[in-house]
Amino acid sequence: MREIAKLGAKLLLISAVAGLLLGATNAVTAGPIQAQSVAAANAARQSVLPSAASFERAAEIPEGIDEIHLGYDASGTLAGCTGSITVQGYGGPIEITVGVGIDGAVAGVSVGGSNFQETAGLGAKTKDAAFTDRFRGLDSKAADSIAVVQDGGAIDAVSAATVSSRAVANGVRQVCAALQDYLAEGN
Amino acid sequence: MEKKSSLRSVFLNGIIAENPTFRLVLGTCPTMAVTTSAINGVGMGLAATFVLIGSNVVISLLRNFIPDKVRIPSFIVVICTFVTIVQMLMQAFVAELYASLGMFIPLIVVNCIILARAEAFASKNGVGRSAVDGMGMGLGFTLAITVMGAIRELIGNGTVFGLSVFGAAYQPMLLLILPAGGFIVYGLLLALINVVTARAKKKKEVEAND
Repeated sequence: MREIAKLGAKLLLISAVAGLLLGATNAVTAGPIQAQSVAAANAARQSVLPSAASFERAAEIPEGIDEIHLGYDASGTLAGCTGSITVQGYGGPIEITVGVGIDGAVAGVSVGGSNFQETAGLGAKTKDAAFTDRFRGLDSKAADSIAVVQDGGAIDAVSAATVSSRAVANGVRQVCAALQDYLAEGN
Repeated sequence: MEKKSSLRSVFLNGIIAENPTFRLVLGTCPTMAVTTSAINGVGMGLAATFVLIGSNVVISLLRNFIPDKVRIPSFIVVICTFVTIVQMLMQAFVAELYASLGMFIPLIVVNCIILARAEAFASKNGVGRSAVDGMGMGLGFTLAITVMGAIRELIGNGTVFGLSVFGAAYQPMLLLILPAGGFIVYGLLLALINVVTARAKKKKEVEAND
């Protein structure tokens, strides 16, 4: 009985010290981690909408879209919008971020997300610039025409990865359609 | 207590004689998961090496305090705490390094090499020797999964470290990058290494008999 209590006390002590250390580390790092993730998210938006210098989050967004940001250039005028969506791919959820310039042309697309599980060498190629660049320059006003060739669109799917490619193309189309209202507001 | 081996042999032990991946067959789960490319192998290996050295040192410092009967839960608490702190510090202050190695860190908690070395070595040896053991084991692991990653990447994607080897005309054998290919390559490498060690042992015996 005494021994069990002693073991328990030692284990408690080890766990308590561990908890204390974790708490202290968290207190020190929480701020910088938050700042890093904001900076990373900003950089991600800038990569799909290079003409914008700062971003402002749109408060009201249509259903099905994760986030919409209005991008402003250095002089403070609306340069375009970015929108993110999560779609179901072949292996799991795919996060897609689309940037559309004020002229309505798709400025960039990024594919990925922390739960990206498309097959390596096949569906995972939808992340590569070789695939995402196929969307660049498309007219977002004619969003209905953004689709893979198999669905009557102009986007060549990654070979042997039609499901992943179609999921991405459909996601881009939905975001483009949703962004029209926000682009019109700026004009 | 057995005779203490030199630091040099403790270090080399992890790389060759008791290579965690090929001889001890530990940590096979991360081995399968990350060896789809050589660079992944390097990243996972270095992150694991860092944690291995750190956790070996901490366990070795605490070895007289931790009661034998509850040593496994104690080791796990220590290892998880260490890994989590490293992850948080990396995320906060070296974001670029975290961006490339970050995905491997949570995987390290379940890497049984760490627990195995805590149990088999650090809990019975001094701080310096434990650190050296962690370094040797970690580098052995890094070496093994980098080699495996390079083989899978070369045949499965035609590249090594992202550089094209066979040129654009090469039709990659995708199977090698998929999980099934991981098992095949791992099995063949284990067999190869067993043959090599068996030969070396036989040679030694023959020489000893002469």
